[in-house]
Amino acid sequence: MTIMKSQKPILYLFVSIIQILICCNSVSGNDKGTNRTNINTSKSNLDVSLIKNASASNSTISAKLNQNKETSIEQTQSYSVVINSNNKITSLTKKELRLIFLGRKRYWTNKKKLSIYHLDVNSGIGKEFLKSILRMTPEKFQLYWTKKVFSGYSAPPTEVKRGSKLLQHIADIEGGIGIVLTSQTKNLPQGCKVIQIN
Amino acid sequence: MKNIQQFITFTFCLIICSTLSQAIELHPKFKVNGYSSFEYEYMLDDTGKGDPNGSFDADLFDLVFNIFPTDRLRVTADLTWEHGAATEDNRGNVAIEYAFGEYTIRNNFRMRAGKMFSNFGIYNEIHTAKPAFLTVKEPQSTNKNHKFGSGDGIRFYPRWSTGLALLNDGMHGNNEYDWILQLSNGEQVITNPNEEDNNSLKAIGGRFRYNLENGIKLGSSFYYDSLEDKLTGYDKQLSYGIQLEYNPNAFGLELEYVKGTVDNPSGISVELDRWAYTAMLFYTYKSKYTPYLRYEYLDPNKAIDSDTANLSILGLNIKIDPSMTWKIEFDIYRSDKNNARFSGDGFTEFKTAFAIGF
Repeated sequence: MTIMKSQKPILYLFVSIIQILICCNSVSGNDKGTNRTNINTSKSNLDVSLIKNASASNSTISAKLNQNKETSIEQTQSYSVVINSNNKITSLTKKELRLIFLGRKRYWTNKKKLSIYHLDVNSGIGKEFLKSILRMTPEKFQLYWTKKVFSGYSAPPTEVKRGSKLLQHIADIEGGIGIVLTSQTKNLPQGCKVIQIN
Repeated sequence: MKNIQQFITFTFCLIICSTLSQAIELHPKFKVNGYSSFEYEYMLDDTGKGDPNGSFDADLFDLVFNIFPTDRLRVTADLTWEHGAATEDNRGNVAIEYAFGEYTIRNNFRMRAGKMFSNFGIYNEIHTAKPAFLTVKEPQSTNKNHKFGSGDGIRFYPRWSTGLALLNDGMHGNNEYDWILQLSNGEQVITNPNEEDNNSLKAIGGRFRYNLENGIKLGSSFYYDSLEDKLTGYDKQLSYGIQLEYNPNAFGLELEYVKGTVDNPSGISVELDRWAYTAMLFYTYKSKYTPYLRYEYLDPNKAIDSDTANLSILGLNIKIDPSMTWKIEFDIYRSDKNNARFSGDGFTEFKTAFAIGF
């Protein structure tokens, strides 16, 4: 059996693969741009068709547009970030939120330890949060934390079954932060507040 | 009949395993996690170093504790019970995989003291935590080379290191990085390296990882030790490696390359100059099925001809439950005649495992 004894080809291969990956990524980035253009194009086609039908039924179109607007508002506000009300923070950037939920930011500016809570990551809200903030699927999020916890790097965030229970945890713990349905923030318990995500 | 009995037992064990609970938080300052793995191995060829009888293996049951006495202090431990540990019968293994205290000096700057894994490459810290990787076993060529034909029995780096470590992580633009630097007793046979060093020099190890925004994860590690083993004459040991991980969507890739030397100035044993790599491709379908292909290669000593070994793995990982996976794979071993473990054998082994993480 002939097995390669020289290791130089492996190093070349390693470097080549990195180069290919970087190239592929920039290509896929361009693809994304193309897709975006396509979407915009199709949207403008849709607009044209709407205008064409405008004479037929203006009221139907405006109703549809309003409905779309409402859906879009609902989508962007389907989850909210809640922290303990003793915390003076009023907003976080998406980047900060990402670092928090990946366990890379562990303390608030007041030096209190962050305690992270979330609902089932496989639920609608969980998936939406992971996709929009962490750019991860639930499986990747779970695998990320499995590796981190079992290799001794961190304790995992706490998964809570119900939103009310999650809010109670945050009210009790000064460094608490959690994600809940926006509808659940209408009657926040004492000790919790909603913060803005920029 | 024997096969039917094995199948029934296997299924029964699966049912028992699947009733294990999810993550446990006993108190906000005390969290318990854990994992277990139940395995079956059967060598398909008549000869080779595999298991010809087809055996069940209560591989391991681990509990991982995270305790926070204060906001800045974390105490963590991983306790393992392997192969149905029963000390009265001298069976199995009970061990502390790691146990250390970690103090946060600043938000992203920490210090550790205690017994920990050597911070090298992709797999050593993941160790035997089966829910954290796809295959049944972690790579042998780069991580357990002493079981893959390194006749000297010296790994590229020891599994554990007892000592001090500094850790840091942060952002460089939109890219994430982290590094760890470890000072420890190193590896030795005569004394217990978790208690007493056998020489005045200390081992130094470290790793730097850089995660690009586009999902490419790069890393490099090193380990330097003074073995000063009077029996074998082995002295200075140096190993280093590079790693690459890429998993932007369903497709994934892992590459790891390790090279190492061990000096032997007295000439009692032959000096070591070895290298190894592992390459893996995988694809996740519908977030549940992940077929994978892994290739491992080890040259235990460049100075010795025909001593290499390689392993090709073709497998499937099925996510039965968010906390449980079923792994099925065929391991195809090939070796050269001077390989210390396989001696030119080539054989195929069927392996399957149920891994649970909670």
